[in-house]
Amino acid sequence: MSGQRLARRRLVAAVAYSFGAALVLGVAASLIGELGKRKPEFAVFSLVVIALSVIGVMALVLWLCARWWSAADEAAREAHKWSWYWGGSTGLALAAVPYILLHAMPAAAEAALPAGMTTTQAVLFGMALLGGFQLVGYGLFWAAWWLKRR
Amino acid sequence: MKNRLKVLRAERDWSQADLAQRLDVSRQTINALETGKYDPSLPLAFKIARLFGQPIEAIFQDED
Repeated sequence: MSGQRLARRRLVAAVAYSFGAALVLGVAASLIGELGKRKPEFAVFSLVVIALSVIGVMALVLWLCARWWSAADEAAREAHKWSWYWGGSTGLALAAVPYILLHAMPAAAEAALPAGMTTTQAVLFGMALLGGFQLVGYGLFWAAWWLKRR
Repeated sequence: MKNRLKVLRAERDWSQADLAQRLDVSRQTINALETGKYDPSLPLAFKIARLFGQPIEAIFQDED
């Protein structure tokens, strides 16, 4: 079996194991989180468990990324590197436009928020928006890289 | 950079998928190489040269 095929097989197995592990961690964290909500004496404990679970899932994601990277050939890697640099940078540059505008006009930013949105929700929305701009930029540049080389 | 990959492959009656399997890369990569739109790394160029039993400069030519 070729090296790339073997790496792909290993990747599929790694994805299956990771989903299983993430499911177990997620269920455990949500159960303990619920316990922390109901019984204040468990609040800190549940927060620690949730934090450790998230770290665990992120470690699994990074491990999967490493497996996936080793299964990709050099042109696929080049496409990803190029797309993350140019697509991610372009996405970030575009995201800077609303960021700077909203900084300059805080009243307009307040007015633009949906009614009832809490500060936490607004921060999370801003973070997701920033990541979204980069992800869309990456996706478009990645597609362009391969379309150009068809 | 120009190359003779397509000719060398055709001489052996290999499909792009056959060549991709022999070089352990994807078919899309072979297509990008053959159309001259992607230049291989040195390790891949050496692998290609070994596979076809020819020196690198007999397969890849600089366009300058």
